[in-house]
Amino acid sequence: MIWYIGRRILYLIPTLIVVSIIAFLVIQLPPGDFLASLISKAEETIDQAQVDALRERYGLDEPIYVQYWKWVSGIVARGDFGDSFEWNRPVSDLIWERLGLTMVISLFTLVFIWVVAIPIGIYSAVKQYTIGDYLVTVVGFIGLAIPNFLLALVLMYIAFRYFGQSVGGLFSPEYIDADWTLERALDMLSHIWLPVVILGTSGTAALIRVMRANLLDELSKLYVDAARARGLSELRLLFKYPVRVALNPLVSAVAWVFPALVSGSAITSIVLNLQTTGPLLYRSLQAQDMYLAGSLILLVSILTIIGTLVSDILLAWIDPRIQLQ
Amino acid sequence: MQPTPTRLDSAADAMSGANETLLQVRDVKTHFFTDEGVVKAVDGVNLSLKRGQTLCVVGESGCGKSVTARSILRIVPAPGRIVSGEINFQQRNGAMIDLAQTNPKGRAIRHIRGREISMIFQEPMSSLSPVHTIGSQIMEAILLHLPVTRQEARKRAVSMLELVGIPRAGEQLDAYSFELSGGMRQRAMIAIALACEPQLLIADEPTTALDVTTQANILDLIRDLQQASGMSVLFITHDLGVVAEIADEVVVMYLGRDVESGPVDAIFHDPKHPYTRALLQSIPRYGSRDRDRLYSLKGTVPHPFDRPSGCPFHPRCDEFIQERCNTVDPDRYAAGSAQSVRCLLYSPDADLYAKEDSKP
Repeated sequence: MIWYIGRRILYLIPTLIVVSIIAFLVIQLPPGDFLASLISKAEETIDQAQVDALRERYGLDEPIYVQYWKWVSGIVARGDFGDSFEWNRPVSDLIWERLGLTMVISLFTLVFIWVVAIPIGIYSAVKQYTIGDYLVTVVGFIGLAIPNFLLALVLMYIAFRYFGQSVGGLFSPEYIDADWTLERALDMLSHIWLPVVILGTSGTAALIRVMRANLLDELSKLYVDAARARGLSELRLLFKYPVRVALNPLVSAVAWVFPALVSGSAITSIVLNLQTTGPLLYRSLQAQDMYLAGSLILLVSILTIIGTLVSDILLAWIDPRIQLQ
Repeated sequence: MQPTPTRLDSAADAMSGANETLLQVRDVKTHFFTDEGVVKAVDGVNLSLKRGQTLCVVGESGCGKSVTARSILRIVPAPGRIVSGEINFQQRNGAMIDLAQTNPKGRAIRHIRGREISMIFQEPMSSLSPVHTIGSQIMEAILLHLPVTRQEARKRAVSMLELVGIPRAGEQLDAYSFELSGGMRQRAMIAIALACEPQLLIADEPTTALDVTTQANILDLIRDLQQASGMSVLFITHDLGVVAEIADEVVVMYLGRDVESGPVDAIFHDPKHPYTRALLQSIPRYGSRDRDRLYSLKGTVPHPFDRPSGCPFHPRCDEFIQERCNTVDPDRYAAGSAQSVRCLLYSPDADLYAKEDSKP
C-alpha cells in the first residue's frame, strides 16, 4: 500500500510539469497580450514609448519559454506566482483566500451530494418501480435539467423574500473584510447552504442515478441471496453486501465530481457574488492577466490531480479486488 | 477459561428421529406476476424428505427446480411469490412449522435459514461476496445463530474450512473469493452452509459450474459430511448420473410439477411416467452400437405463458391419448412398487379408456 501511494506520488511530478506547460500555453493562445487589451480599453492614447517601457517591465518581449521558465522557477523556488498585471499585486495575495473558500464550498458540496444522493439512491433501487422511485426519478431529472444559474436566481429570491437573508456573497456585509473569528465562520456557515445546494443539485441528481443503477445490479446478484439464505435480516443484508459493493464506483466518482465543482461553479459564483476562484479566473482570462490566469488554472489542475489520487487510494483501500501491483 | 466447543448435536438428533419426515412440500404453487402475465414457475409440486436421506429433484432447465428450492427457504425473487400450498418442516425442538405461511422477511424464517436449512448455489463464483473475506462470511453465519464469542466463531470457522478440505484453512480464512479456485469456492460455500449444522442442506446444482473432477470431489464431500452429521440433503440437478450416485428418493419435475416420484431404484429400473422414461432413454450408454441413434425427446419445453391444456406433457408424449390427455389434468396416482405418477395411464379408470380406444 505504502509503495503504491509512493509510486503514485512519484507519477505526479511529470503530470504536474505537463499540466503547468499546458496551463501556460493555453493563456498565451489568444492573440495579443495584457497590454494590448489594456490599450484597447484605455480612454486616452498611450504613446509608444510608454507601452515599450511597460512591455519591458512585465517581460512580455521575451520568448514564451523564457517567460514560462521565469514563472515556474519562481513558483518552485520561492512560492512566487508572479504579479497580477490588473491588480498590481502578487498573485499569491489574491488567490489564497479565494482558493480556501473554493475548497470549503466544494467540500461542503461534495458532502452534501453524498449525504443526499446515497440514501435516496438506495431507496430508489430497493423500491424500484414504486411511486417513490418514480418521484425520485422525476425530481432527479428536473434537478439535472435546471441550469445552476437559474436555480441560483430562484433560491436567492426565496431566501431574500421569505427568510429575509442577505443574499449574495458568503458573508453578511459587516463580516466581509473582518478578520477570521468564530463569528465570521458561523456567519459563513449560515450563508454557505445556498451555493452548496445550488452547486450540488445536478451532482446529486446524477449520483442518485448512478447509485440506483449500481445497487440494482448488485441486488440481483447471487451473493445477496446466499447471504439472505444464511438468515441475515433484510436491513443488515442490504448495507453489508449490495450497498457496500455499489459504493465502490461512487468513490471513484469523487475524481470527476470534484473538478466539475471547482471549474463548473464560475457562473454560479458570479451570480451569487461568491469570493471564489471562478469569477477571478473569468476576469483574468478576459483581461489576459497572464500570471493570475495561469496560476489559477495550474492550482485547480493540481487540486484535480490530488482529488484523483485520493479517490484512487481510497478505492484501493476499500476494494480488495484492486491489485496494487 | 477454555471456551467450550459447541456440541455437534444434529447427528444425535437425526439418530433419534430416524425415518421421520423432516420436510413435506404439499401442492406448492409459486407464481411470478410479471407485466406480461403470470408465469406459473411452480404449479403444484409435492415432495417429502426423511431425516438423513437424500432427495434428488431432476428435470430440464426451466422446470421449476430452483424455484421449488427457493420457495422452501422463502427467497423467491420478486415478482414471484407462493400462492398456495404447504411446506411443513420439523424444527430441532420438534415443533412443526409451515414455511409457506411465514413472512419472508420475518424473524421465524430467518431463524430457520442457515440454522435449520442451508442452501448452496449453482455458481460458487457469484454466491460469495466479492469484497468480504471467506472467514467473515462463515463467521457471520455462526455469530448469527450460535451463542459464541468472536474468537470461538473464528475457531469454528477454521475447523469448518478444514472439514470441507480447504488446505491451510487458517490462512484461507482471510482470503477473498476471487483468490480461490471454483472448487475451493464451492467448498467454502459448503463450509458456510454447514457452519451451524443444519438439519437440511439444499444444494441447487452445486456441481454444474465445475469441471468433472471437481464435481466428483464435491459430491463425495457432500456425501461424507452427510454421513458424519446425519443431515438430509435436497439435491437439485439435471444430471441423471449424479442422481444415480447419491439419491435415496427422486422427484422428476416437468413444467413446475412433480410428474413422478419414488425411490431411486424404482425410478431408474421401472420408470412409469412417459417423461421419466424419455429422460432415461436419452442418456448415452457406453458400449451401445454406433448406428443406434440416441433417443431424443421430441418438441421443446412450452413457453411459460402458453401452458398446454390437460396434462402439460401431452404435446411431447409418445403415449398421448386423444380427447383425454389434452383435456384432463392428471392427479397423482400410485404406480409400481412405491412410485406416484401424474399420468392418466395410471389412473384407476385407465383400463376403461384403453378399451374404448381399442374399439374398432
